[in-house]
Amino acid sequence: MVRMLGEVFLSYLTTCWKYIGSFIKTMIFFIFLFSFYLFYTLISFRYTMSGNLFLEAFKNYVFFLLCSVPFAVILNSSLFLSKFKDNKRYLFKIIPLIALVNSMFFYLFLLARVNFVPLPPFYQYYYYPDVKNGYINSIGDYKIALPYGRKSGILFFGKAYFFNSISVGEDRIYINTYKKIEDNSLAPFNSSYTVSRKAQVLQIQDSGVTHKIFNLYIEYILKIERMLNAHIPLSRGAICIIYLILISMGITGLVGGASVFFYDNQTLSLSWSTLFVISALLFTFLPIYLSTISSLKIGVRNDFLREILPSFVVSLCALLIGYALIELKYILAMKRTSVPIKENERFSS
Amino acid sequence: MKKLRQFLLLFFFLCIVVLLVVLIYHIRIERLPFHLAFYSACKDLLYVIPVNGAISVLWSLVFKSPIDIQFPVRDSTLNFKIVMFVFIMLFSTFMFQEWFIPKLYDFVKLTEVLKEKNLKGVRIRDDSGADFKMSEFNRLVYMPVRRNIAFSTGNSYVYFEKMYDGNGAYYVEGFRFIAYTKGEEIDYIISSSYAKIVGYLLYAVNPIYYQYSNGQFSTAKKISGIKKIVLMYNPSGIYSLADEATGSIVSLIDVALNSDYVLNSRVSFYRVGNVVFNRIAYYLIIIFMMILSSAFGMAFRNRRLLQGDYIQTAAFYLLSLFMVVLYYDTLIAFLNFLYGFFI
Repeated sequence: MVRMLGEVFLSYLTTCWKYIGSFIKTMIFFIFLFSFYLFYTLISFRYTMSGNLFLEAFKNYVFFLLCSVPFAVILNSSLFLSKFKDNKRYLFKIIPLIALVNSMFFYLFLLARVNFVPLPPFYQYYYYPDVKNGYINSIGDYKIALPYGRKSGILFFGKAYFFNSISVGEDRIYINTYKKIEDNSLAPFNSSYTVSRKAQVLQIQDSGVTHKIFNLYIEYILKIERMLNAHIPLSRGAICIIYLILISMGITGLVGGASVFFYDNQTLSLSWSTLFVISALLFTFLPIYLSTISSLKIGVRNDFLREILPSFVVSLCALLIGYALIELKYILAMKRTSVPIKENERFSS
Repeated sequence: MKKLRQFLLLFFFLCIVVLLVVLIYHIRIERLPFHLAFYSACKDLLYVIPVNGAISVLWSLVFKSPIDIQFPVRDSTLNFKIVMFVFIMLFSTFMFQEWFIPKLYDFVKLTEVLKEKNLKGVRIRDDSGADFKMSEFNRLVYMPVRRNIAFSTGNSYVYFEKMYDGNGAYYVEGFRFIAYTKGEEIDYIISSSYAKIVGYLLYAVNPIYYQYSNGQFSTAKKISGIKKIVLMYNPSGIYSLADEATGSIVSLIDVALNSDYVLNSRVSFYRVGNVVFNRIAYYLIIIFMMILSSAFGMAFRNRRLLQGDYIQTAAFYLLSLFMVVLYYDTLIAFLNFLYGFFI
């Protein structure tokens, strides 16, 4: 009896361990997914900051990744729970356990109050080309020919001019001409030209869609962090933890139900993309979820119940929706195949 | 060749749809005239081609038709077809970007100039003979033009105020030739208002010859008739790389074919280097995206026909589109970062 209990406990523990492993895998996936942000900040840091740019940018990127933990939690639990779709009873046992782990992640996310730079806009960068001796330097519309070892040269700009002095400044070039070659004459021509050295770096333009979506995403992360910090009484330790557990219970139940409902081995890429889209949708509903809870708070007078009761009610609703989705999946599957599905296939022996 | 046909059909269909949408946008909303709208739509299409290619491979690999189930294709065959598709796509994109768009650019510019002067376009005759009349220069208005061209041949500098592309021969307006001695002092100057280039020879019409001695101007001599000057570089290269300052239209074909001009003419081709980096990065991006999307599509193909999976299909279309765009933008950001930091 004791041994059996121990085995069961061990199986749950290994599942938890596997869940944490898959969470780490999801975070590694996120490192690649959000690397767009890293490159943008690196480019903008180069032109706006001094010091150790790489270290700063990577630190900033780690903070950004920490802030996207809620999305990672939702996505990972949806992907992980879909593996147990053939095993309904085990699924019901495992969801609360995973919700506990998720609440831990949420708690860590709340504790780590981090700041990161908002996504810098795409803007045109400039550089200042050298004026090389012995070359024809094309700067803007002007072409400045400098023969070797001479201070004077030829300026080509509509016509050809000889110049006898050139001074290269920080962002401008000053040229004094003394002669102009025309079609029929070679006339003295004293004039001074100021040439702007600034030249555009020709960058490859991106589509701009990703930039907009990243901006929206960052706004959302900040909003969720603000809302969680506003609604959850971090100062009251035990109540905060119970509150978080209840919330994550609801979220995990809903996500698990949805993922089991839409998952199919035969069409793997389709079901993965569905899970991704669904977790993104649930992530966008997170503020609504939180604000529903806090609006229910208003009527409750008891101090303890005030924090616990609304979250309990809302989470129960979410859990029930998840449960309904799982049951619906089984009913539909039975209808389609008209063969009852074996339960506890994997863990029966 | 069923799968290859599917890739190509989807790819060209998507390209044409995008082209039409962008064209309608430019005409209806930005109110551009048709030739300009078509030109900018073609340039916009280039940004979409990598995404289109990746998506057409992904979509046609993931979904299965009843024929695929009846006659399953071997993986090696499919691999071969994907490689074929990548090559066809790369080739067509390369020709589109490096050959078609520069030609279109000349045409658009010429059309604008002619419209300003209320003239109609004329088909330029092939006058690539060494014997020419002055009346040939009356047709310069009808030819595409590049301005402000300077390069060096050995110890001397050549300047063309305007250079016209006249179907076989090139015409020059405002020709200057400044020769230096070995001691870097001015030797002589040739100046003429008109010149014609046939092959590697430049014929200057009625030039003035300014003789220098010891760096000081001594005599001016008017030559009536024609003075022959040998150009060291191919005039088509000089013409096509003239737009170096803006760098908007430089094609890799011209850079590759006229590498002697690029390397020897002592023009600091900053822009051309930048453009070459960008173009090569663009083609690398295409190859990289095709490899990744085809690998994903091969690995996660559907194993059954769809039976009312509407939500899943819609989600897949949406997410794959978004992911491919995200991937494209990330690669571009990475390359811009590389260029900004190290090059």
